[in-house]
Amino acid sequence: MSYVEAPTLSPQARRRRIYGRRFLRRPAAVVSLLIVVGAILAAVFARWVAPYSPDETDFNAILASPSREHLLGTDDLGRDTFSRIVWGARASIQAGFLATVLAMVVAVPIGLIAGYYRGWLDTVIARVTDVLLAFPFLILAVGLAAILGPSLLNATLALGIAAMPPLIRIARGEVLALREEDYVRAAVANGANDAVIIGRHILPNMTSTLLVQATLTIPAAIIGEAVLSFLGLGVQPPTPSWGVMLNAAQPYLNEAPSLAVYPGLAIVIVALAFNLLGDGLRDVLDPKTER
Amino acid sequence: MTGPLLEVRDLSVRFDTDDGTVHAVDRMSLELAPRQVLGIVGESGCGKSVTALSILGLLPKTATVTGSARFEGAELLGASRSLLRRIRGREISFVFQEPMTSLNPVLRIGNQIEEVLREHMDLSRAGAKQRAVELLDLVHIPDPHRRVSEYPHQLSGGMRQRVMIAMALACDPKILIADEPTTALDVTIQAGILDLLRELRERLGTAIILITHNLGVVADLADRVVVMYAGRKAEEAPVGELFAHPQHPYTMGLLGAVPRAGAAHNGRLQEIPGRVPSLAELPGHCAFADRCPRADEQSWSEVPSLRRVRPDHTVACFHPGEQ
Repeated sequence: MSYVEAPTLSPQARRRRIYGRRFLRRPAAVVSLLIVVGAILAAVFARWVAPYSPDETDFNAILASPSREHLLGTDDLGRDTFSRIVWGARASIQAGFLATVLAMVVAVPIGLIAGYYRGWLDTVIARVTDVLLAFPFLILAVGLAAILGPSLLNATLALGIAAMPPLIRIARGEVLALREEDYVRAAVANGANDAVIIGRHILPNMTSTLLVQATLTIPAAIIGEAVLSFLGLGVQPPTPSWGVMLNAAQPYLNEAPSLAVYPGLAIVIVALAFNLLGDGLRDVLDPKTER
Repeated sequence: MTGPLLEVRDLSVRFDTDDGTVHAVDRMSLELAPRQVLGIVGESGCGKSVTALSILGLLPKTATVTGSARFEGAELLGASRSLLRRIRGREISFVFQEPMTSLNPVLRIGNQIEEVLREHMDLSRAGAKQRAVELLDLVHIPDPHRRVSEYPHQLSGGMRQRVMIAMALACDPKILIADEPTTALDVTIQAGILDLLRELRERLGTAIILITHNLGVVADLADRVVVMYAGRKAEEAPVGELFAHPQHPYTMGLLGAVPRAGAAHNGRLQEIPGRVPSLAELPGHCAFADRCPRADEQSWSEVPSLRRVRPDHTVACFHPGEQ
């Protein structure tokens, strides 16, 4: 058994070490973590990372190719593409995280209550969720954003709401399975109240499922933010955002395709990194993982 | 002097399912005195566990429970959820059959014990932690200070069952209901758990209801035995009396099916012919009639009621008696 190998460490410390070792054994997850951390740092410290202000125009270099002064070239107004991508990461990361947090905070309790108490309330919640699930995520987000009006905050709200239906369904399904577990029955037999059973026995046992779902929701929301901004329903020009940049690149696709390629690559790389990081975390945190 | 700790009268449990009604328990009566160990024996599906679960209102909503179950005079059947919650774990606690799955895998075992303590008793966090260590020590888990912060997957099955027992005993309950506590364990581990239960009864004076299909376990631990068959009580007697003078042909069949070293039936165990009847409909006759060598016309036309064959020995059979 594991307790013979490192008797001087506390169980928690030993566990952390096992998680660390498992994580390092997964190169895709490690690279993804570096990218995700890099993107977050770039977004937070954009002022220092970006060589230029996102609005600064250089009329001597309009639609310029990459050079020492402008790493990824410039756009039709002579704005530095690299700087705009760095600043644009703010909108993407912010929308990705906030929309996911919003969706979790609202959807998980709804799913927990529906699945635990059942009854007519559960029926209503489950049916409404089914109806909402009939709409694709982006369609729902676009519709909501159109109703709420164009701004980054409203786009985030719209993405958060649009991400709720699958989360409600997942949380509810997990509760339905977990409430039949022997340890839940044992807790009931020991006189535990509903709050303890839900909060201590059911919710902690679904965290890994929720974590994986969160790592899928964040990139979906990042892409969603780009789509909404591209359509003019999110971040408004001249504020930089990857979607806004893609939109602005449209008229120049023939002359300067790189204007669309770089923000597109940014979206793909960051979204992929979140997905792969989620995959890795799931493997690492799964108690059944051997390596 | 004092009355029984737990008194069950005419308890019946029905399940209404899509395939019709299942009568799991039919007019069952039990009494449990303080410090007593009552064994409930029977085959799978005879209603042992359902009887125990129904006392604490732990059956699913599809169950209809009638009759009476009084704990220290207070009626438990149909009691409010809050009263039942105060009783569960505090006055009457459960140990289930499956130690491997009855502990929450994401919580340290200490936290799980502390949770029961804090639910029922006015204890500080530190006090609960201290008590959790004491309880692990009480159930003979070595190195309790370290074990208390381990997770269930770090413990063996026998250890986990000890933790379950520690949890059940956390609030010093008056009754411990152990539902097949050793069935899922190795034989050597079983003996350890039984020794532990015996010792705890001596030390803490906890009354125990021991539900099992294993007559050896009952012989080892119980004071009184109730034999159940098809949802009904077939026979009840003190343990020595039951083993020495079984009256019901079903009890004899059970005893004949226990392997004994050096027994004189050429190594062949006696089996009871036939199988347990479906509980979908209660027969209007003795439920054991189709498997019983003594069945006659009366057995096929009436349900036998319990009759007293000795002062402390009752049996539900028209033709009781040894051999």
